[in-house]
Amino acid sequence: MKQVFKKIISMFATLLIVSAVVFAAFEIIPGDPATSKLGSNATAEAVARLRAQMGLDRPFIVRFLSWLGDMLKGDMGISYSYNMKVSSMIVDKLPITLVMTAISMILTLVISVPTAIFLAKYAKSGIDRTGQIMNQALMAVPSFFLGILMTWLFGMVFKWFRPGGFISYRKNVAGFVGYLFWPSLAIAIPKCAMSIKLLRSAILSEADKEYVRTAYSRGNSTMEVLYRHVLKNALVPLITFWGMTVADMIAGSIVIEQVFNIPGLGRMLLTSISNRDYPVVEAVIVLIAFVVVLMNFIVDLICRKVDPRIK
Amino acid sequence: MKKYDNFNFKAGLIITAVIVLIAVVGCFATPYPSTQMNMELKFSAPTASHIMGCDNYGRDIFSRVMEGIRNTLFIALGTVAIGTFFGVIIGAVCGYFGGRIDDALMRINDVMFSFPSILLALVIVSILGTGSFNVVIALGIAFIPSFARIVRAEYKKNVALDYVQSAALFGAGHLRIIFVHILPNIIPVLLSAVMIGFNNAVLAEAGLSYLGIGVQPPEASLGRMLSEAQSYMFTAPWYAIFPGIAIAVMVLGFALVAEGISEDTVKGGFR
Amino acid sequence: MMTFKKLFRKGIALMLVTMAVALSGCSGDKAEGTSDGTITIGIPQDLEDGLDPHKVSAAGTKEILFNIFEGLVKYDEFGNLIPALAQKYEISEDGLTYRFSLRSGVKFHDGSDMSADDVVYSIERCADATAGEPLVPAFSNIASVVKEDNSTVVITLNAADTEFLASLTTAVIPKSNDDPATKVIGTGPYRYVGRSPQESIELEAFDKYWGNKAHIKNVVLKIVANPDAIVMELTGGSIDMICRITDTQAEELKGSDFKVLEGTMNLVQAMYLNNAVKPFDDVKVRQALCYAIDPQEIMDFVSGGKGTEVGSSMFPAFGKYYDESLNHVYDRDIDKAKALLKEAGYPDGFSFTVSVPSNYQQHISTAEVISEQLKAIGVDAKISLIEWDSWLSDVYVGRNFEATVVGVDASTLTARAMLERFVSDSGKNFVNFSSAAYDEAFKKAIGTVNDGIQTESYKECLSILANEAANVYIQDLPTFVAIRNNIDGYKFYPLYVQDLASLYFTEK
Repeated sequence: MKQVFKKIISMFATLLIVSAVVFAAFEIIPGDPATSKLGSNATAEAVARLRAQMGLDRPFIVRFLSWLGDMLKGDMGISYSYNMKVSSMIVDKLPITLVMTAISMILTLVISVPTAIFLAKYAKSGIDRTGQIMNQALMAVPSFFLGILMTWLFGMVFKWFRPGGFISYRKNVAGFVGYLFWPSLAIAIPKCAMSIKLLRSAILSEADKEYVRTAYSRGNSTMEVLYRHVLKNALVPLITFWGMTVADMIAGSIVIEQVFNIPGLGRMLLTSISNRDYPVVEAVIVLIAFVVVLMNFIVDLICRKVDPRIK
Repeated sequence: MKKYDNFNFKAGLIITAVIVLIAVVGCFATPYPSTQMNMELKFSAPTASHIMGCDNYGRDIFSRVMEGIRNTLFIALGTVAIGTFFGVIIGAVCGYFGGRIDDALMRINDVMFSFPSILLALVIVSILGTGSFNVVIALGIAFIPSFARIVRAEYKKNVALDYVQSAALFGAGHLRIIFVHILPNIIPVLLSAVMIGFNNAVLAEAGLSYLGIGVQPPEASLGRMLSEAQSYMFTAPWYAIFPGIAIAVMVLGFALVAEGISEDTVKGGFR
Repeated sequence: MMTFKKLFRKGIALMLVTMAVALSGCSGDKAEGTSDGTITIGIPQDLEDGLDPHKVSAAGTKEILFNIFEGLVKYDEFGNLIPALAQKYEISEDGLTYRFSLRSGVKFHDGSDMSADDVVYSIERCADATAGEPLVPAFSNIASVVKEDNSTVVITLNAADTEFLASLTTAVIPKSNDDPATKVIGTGPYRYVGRSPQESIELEAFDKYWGNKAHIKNVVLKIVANPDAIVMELTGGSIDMICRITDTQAEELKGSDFKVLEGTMNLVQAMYLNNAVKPFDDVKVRQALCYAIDPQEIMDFVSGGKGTEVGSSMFPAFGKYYDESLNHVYDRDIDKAKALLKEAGYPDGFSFTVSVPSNYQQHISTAEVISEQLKAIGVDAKISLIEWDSWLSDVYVGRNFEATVVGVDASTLTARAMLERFVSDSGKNFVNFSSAAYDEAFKKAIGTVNDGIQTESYKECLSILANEAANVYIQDLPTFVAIRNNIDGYKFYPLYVQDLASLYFTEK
């Protein structure tokens, strides 16, 4: 319990440093949000006026502390370019990224676990070898290239979905999920290949251990041994991997969103960076960092639960 | 040094060797100048003289893929070099000494680790500006934490071992123990990490240049070619397919080598 | 008032479309009422600089707001200023007093009546100079804005300005609106419904519009941020129409459900040179570049040979000033270019960086071709792609660049808008062009009310720019609009405008 408490403390410490680093990073970035907002016809006075209005003329530390205070109250500020609350913009976009990540994760689990068990069962057979070679090849294909190929093949040749036909979840939930299935698949395939490889070898190495032989000698069937003992232990290292995969998927969605023209968090981050819309950039980055740190924490908790040896 | 003679290692080595060869040859000569434009060859399909066809300016895609591979490889090389160099130093210091230094450095490491590397690179590039040199720095910094973690874990393991204890008893200094005694022992693990690093660097570079960050036109980059090719999927599918395959083959080569190394090193664990 | 007869010298298809509109306008069936249905139009970027019509600066935002807001006058598709919220206007002989009779029965989108108070409020808001330059710079010339009665507004100027009327396209917004940045209320044919950042903006036909009502009830402006995905989105059915696609993309659409209309962008695309930095401070170097670069070849590569060459800072839509002979001041001549470089002290060439905004594919392509062409005279042009934001702050405002490829357009349809920026001490002179003769000619042009002298002086300005090789002038880019076959009525404007109200469905 004390350990868990300590973890939570360090989680928040990490987030605090992340937000300070991000805030500082955008101090030294070239380009000024006021100039950018006023455009090409701005005069120096107008820029100065707007800077004061936006609070950019205050010293760094003052701005950081007031921003941090607002963040803790759940107020993420107002977007420079949209005059909208950053929090409402994020609430608007978050479901897109979350659903996409969730579908990718479900696909990864649903495909990789049975396939890995299957390959492990027939280890060293022809099927296993072919499967492993295919697996190795799929791991090497970048997901955005898969996305382009899928758009072409399934979208334009077979017309199974409309390229770029993203539908907002507010209008049609089924259509929304249906469209996000494709980008999610593109993200999931390489991750799936990695999971299969890891899980297959984890199962095989477990199967070699003493306790498995004991279980067999007690008259348990292969299936019983596999599902009751081997799989449970083989999944422990995979949980850590999947935890990291979630973070990777969120980051990978930045590129995939571009391929499938999805207005998610990644797109918002990219355009906000180029518009120097700092309140949005800072909020999104801190949010992503938060999700990653939280994932690590949850994975840690699960591992503790499953494997009491971990202290 | 061990001898690696499993299938994965050999296959990976051959692929990587071919890729490196293409890149090296690409430094000196390509079948056609990579930026030479020719109106008549616009979107010409693969032929004997242009084996990968031509793009929307009638430039030879094979020459551009060669140049793209070269650029990607150099960026990956720079990235991994930065990542390994700083990763080894930080990891070694943390793992060997432990205590306060370890806590502080690992806290910073965790902060950086909580950014996915492509996101971190994106932020750094937006500070430094685009261009291949900046991408090397950005990705290099983004890659330090993972190297540091691996190296630290290895040092932690080794510090407790007898040979280190005895080296200390014989009066070897800290630096000597870190670099002369322990480092050679973790080389197989490090080598495998380096190859995985290459693998990830190629993917990250391709992703960034797909977003338009990195190598500047008219110089060729595989990711940018893919992005441009999207407009012409119907008329010129070869424009997208060859750069895409080039990326996949590069990644495959590095992955197989890494696989081969760990297969022979990690005994008992995986098989 | 200017007319632009030579506006569309190419594109018979376009002429037919315009005629079709005119014809249907006559028969009257299309001019009536609004048909149900939705059109989804792709736009390349979100309206990122806000929705306050007086404060936005991006051309991409203004062209959409054109449908939501109106001023006392507005442009028609030929570039003429026609009365809009003013029914008619009179200008006094001395050019100092403008008397506007307001149209009656005009309603704002919130249902309230447009009144003289709103007009005065809007103009005063834009003329407010207490915090520096007014929102509309030309309004600094206003001495007074007076509401004479409920339907008459009189504007008095400090000095005569033949081009003042163009600035009265400024949107009229209700005085009662306390927050124009978020409450979008205008008088235009479309009213603003809502938006989702980076996703879409929704408009709806305004049923109480004073003029010809929009034909299509719902408009969704969908953001298509990745220009490389445009063709897929069109053929996949996600969008019904998109403007400014490239020539190659247009070709990709052949045989699909889309027709492609061709027009011109009405801007001057050039490689703008920083005249203040070495080696471009030497006129010979600039001329050498002009001789080495072949606009025709660039047009072949970038726009399928369809652009219109320009030789100075004026595009063909300005028939009055556009001088075709300036296109031939520098015909491609490698030997001459090399000789000039040698004279200037660069016998082996030199190397420089072209900064190009990364969101404009045409400019990037142009820079790529230029870089290839310059190799012939041993000049190495490196390309550096920068964010539009950095372009604004570093290149445009900071003037910290060597060369850049962009298109410069006219904010209002006046020669002054194009040429004022090359006056030595102009705040907009980002190329640092400096010529006493030019300053003289420009001063003469704006100082006169005589049309003949003014035209002559502006033309002199243009030939100075060409002979001094201020920049490497290339082309007025062609623009292609892809529209689904069942939609008609698209109009090209000689300035950055998308008129959505004229679109209609051809079938039920």
